[in-house]
Amino acid sequence: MADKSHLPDDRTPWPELGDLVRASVERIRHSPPPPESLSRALERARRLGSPRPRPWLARRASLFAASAVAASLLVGLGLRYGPNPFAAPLDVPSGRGGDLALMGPGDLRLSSDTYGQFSPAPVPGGTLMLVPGRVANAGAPGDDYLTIGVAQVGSHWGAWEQVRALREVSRAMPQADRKAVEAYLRHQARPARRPAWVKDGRPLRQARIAQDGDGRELLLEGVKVAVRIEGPRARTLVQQVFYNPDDRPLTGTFEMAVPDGGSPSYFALFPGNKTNTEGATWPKDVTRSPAPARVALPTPEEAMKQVDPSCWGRPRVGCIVPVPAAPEEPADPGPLAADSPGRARATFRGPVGTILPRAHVCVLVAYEETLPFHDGRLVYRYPLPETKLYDLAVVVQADAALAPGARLSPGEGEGQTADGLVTYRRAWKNARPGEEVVFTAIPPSPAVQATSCKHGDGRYLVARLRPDVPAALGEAPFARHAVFLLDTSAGENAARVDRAVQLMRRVLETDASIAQFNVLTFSTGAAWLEPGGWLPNTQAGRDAALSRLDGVVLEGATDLSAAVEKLLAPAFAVPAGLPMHCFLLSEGRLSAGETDGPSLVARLEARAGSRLRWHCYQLGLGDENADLFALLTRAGGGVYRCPSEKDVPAAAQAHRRPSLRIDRVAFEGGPEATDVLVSGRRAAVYPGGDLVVAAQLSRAGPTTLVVEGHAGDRKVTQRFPVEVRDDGQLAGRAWGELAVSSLLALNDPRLEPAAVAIASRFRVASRATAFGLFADPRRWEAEPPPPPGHDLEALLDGAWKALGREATPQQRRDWLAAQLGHWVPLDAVRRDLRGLVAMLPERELKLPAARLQGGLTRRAGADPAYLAARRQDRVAIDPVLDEARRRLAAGEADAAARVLCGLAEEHAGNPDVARLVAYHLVATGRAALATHLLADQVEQRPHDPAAHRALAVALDEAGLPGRAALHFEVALALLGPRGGWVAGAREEFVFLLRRRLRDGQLPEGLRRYFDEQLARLDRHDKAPLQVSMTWNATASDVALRVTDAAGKAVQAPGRKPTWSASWPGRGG
Amino acid sequence: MTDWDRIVREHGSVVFATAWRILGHAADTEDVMQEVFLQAHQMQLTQEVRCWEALLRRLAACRALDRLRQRRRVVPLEGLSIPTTADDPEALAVERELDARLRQALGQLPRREATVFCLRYFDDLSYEQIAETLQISPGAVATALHKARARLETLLLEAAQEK
Repeated sequence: MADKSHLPDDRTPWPELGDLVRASVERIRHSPPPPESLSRALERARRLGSPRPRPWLARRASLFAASAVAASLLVGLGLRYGPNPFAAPLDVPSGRGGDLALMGPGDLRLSSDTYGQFSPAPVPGGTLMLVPGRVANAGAPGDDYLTIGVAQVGSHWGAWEQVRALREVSRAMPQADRKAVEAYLRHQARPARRPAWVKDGRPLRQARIAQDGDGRELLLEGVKVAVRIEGPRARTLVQQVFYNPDDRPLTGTFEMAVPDGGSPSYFALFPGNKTNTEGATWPKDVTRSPAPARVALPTPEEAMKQVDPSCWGRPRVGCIVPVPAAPEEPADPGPLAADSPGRARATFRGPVGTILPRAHVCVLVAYEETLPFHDGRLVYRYPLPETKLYDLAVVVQADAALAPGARLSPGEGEGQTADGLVTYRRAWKNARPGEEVVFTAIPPSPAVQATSCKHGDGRYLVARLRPDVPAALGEAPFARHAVFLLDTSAGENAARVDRAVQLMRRVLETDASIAQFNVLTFSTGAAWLEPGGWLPNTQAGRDAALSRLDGVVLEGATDLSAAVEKLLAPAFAVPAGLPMHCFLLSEGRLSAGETDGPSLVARLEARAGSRLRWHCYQLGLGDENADLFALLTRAGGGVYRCPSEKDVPAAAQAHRRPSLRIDRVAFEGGPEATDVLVSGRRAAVYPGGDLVVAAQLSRAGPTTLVVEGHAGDRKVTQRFPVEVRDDGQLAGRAWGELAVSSLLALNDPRLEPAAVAIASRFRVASRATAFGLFADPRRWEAEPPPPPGHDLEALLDGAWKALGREATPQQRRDWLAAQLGHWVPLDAVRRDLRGLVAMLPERELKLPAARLQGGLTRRAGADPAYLAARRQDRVAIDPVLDEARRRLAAGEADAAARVLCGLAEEHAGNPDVARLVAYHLVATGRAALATHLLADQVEQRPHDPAAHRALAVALDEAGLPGRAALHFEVALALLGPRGGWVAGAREEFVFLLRRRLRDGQLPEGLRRYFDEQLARLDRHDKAPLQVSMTWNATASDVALRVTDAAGKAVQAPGRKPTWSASWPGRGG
Repeated sequence: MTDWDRIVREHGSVVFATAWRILGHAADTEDVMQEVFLQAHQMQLTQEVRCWEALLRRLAACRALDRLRQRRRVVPLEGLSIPTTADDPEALAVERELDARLRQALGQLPRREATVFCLRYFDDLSYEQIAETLQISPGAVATALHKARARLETLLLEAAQEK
């Protein structure tokens, strides 16, 4: 029997099938899955999170039996007590919700027969609508009733929402039944909290190719590493040979650990060839020069050309593509990306397509990095594989000037010097020589290490400068006032807050230059610990402050912008321009208010100038705020680690180091320099710190880098001579890397095209770009995106200043119009909605201000049951809702809103919870706050109609009818005429239109638009009554409305209105 | 500990594609995908999963076929009102009807036969791979496949005659 091939090209078209079946099979096989649907489904599956092993479940079969009994009991109870969705026959697959419409004037009965015809099952959310009168675009005249868009609502729910809804239903039951339901619900899975810091279970020291499916790894047989060091930069080119021992082709995923600050710069994979199954032919070694007379190691491109495709297969070469653009060729499996480029131990990973059976695979991968400088030495490290390899070789090549004092370990042997380069070689067979290869060298000048090269038409230089920071002898301290910004949000960890308070005490005790201080606590809203003014930095003052922090309950979202507002406009008298130390004690990701770090810091700088010096502390292991901290401290202050109690004394002293504030970095004499970039836009240097500077230069030749700044009140100028040469290789990409990171750091979408263009030219993977694999890279590289036609320095400065300015109404209008491109896929709808955006009044272009009175909740002020429930399960939802309800009843609306917002923080990334919180905020009269929360959801999920619908509801309640109409329109456009719950959204929109037209407060243009839309949407004017029942997907409270033809609510029969059903202007 | 993200990343598309080919309906496929991963998620709490691909593919095929059987007279909303730009709309309609009939017939086959047929012809798996996925012998795969083909021909013929 001939070997069967499963390669698509070799397959015969199923001769055993009949013609009709074969044709159908072929069509079905080639019908592409809808990409949006696929990504939605994948996202939902991901949300399940890694399961915690619970072996006791396997042993306790009785628990399952008990659960089954309880479930049966629940269904019975639901049928007996539940509102209509639960009383319906269960003849449709479960887990689905929908919008239902029942036509027929006068027929408002909800018999189980009629209801059962289109009941989607016992679902806890969705919208049931009973609409007497014609329903637009549905059915033929004369039909008794018909369904509209049954389906798809279920896809918006999380499992916990169903639990929540069942619990809501049980509230109406007798005590005993409710307990039975609770007993059942206790066994339901709870949403897992998103960990603040994720670490792979297994450290990845080398690269691996894992088979898709069972995750088995291909055998790594050989590794050759060629390292080139130039100035402060290094390029590591790794050649790996893997072997697929399987008898079948497989698809795999490549993964490689990239060191701190490393950036992948090249990738090529040779998938193997049938003629080289025994690995008889090895690829030419990357540790050898391409030509006998040449000393320099090969570049990645030269190394790729050295591999023989007849032995190793046709290479798949990585080209930079914009994310999320997918490669075009069918054989191309998808982009490879570094998961956190530039950060510690990023993983470069991606699918690499089909690997042939019993084939050797050759991978060429390169990354570049700026080498650390410790104790006067440059240090390079490369982690060695965990197992013995058949073949392992490492070669390090650097400028000959580094040879004195240089050392490569493990192994012995001096470097060989030739052509101005020194080369160190190590090779091992069937051995594991150690944990890592380490190369250290003493650079000729510790103050500056530079390299330059010609790249394309341009010349580039990158330099690391270590300016001398003069000691601040006898100078006045920067400030005598200090503000401690203490994060008390729900996302904080109690132990870390405790450490933050310890740190605060220690700073105050040891820094006598701080005469007065205050504490600004923030979560959702911010409040001064001492609203009356400054506290003296004395024992009594410190005790008074810290005693007020005893027994604080951590709750609310992380809104640093609220704290910044209070800081810039304190309630007590502060002289204008008073310099202050600001100690930021927060580990939480910004989750409320202004969540964009660059915008927040740019505005802060624009308003406060340089009178605030920020000191940020990393109290845990997470680095979520690394970018924000870097921005806050770029012109002074610093970021200090304090991960444990023993670090507190040192951390408390760290802010007192002298610093050099940088005013200007420029080139003097020699070739003309343009696009001068400073890494991280640093504007201050501390002793031992450095500045990485890159620039484009007009020609080769000597030049001088000048750093001007201030040390205290003294002006300081330092000069660093450098030589621009054409013989380097690494400076061009270093400049590109710096340019891309500078552009992307501002989070401004308008800068992304420029970042993509530069990334394509220099092969920089970033959050905007990834490596796509192409069999023929020339196709992609033939038309790289055009480079930006601006002076990059000016572009970045302009963007930063623009971020710091309040947007004008026209800019807001333009932004909104531009967003339509992301929200709405149809051109025609976009055009119509642009018209609506154009007629929005100015006040609706900006979301309403949503500042809560901040404050602290102490244990004594919270319900003990709530505290106990939170101790037991920090992410539990019901206790929080109950506590919010209690506070609202006690007249503490802001405190209720604060506890609710904590839910969103605890369940970050869960849109269902965000909507739940938002709906309850609306119910507490904090619709403005809800609009901010929901606007974030829209930004994260621009194509989710549920997000737009929820935002529209909140905007309407917040008094922005035009903006609400816009989002209703977007939701309807995304749902399409037959989408799930389209009838519900349409009906809500009609309510909005009618109510606002009745109010008569709309501007003329908007009134006309509302009139037109009402005429288009409303087909029920002649109906005497309109009944709609909504059980919204999140709160799962049922609201039954009966309205007259004018849209006026006349009755709300059915369930007793619950807390969240009593929205102003809604419900019964 | 199971790297769930990786499992979803590596197998999510396969699960979706398997269900999609059987159902041809986006919302149903999303629901099946959810059911499959939920079930797999729960299964791995109590037992070790040796081969995720096989497990997920098997679950995907079974759940999709279950859904196919439940469909009865529910007509997918997709395709009903979408204007076509094809040169021959009539031919397209005929093709769609044939595909729907094939899916309908698959829903009438015994589960094992339908699953084997789908894995073989829709997912392009070899006999050995199907055997590994369904944890049956390659001989049983061959038998089920033979029966599935024969039954399908009969069912499609009957449907054509009724028409």
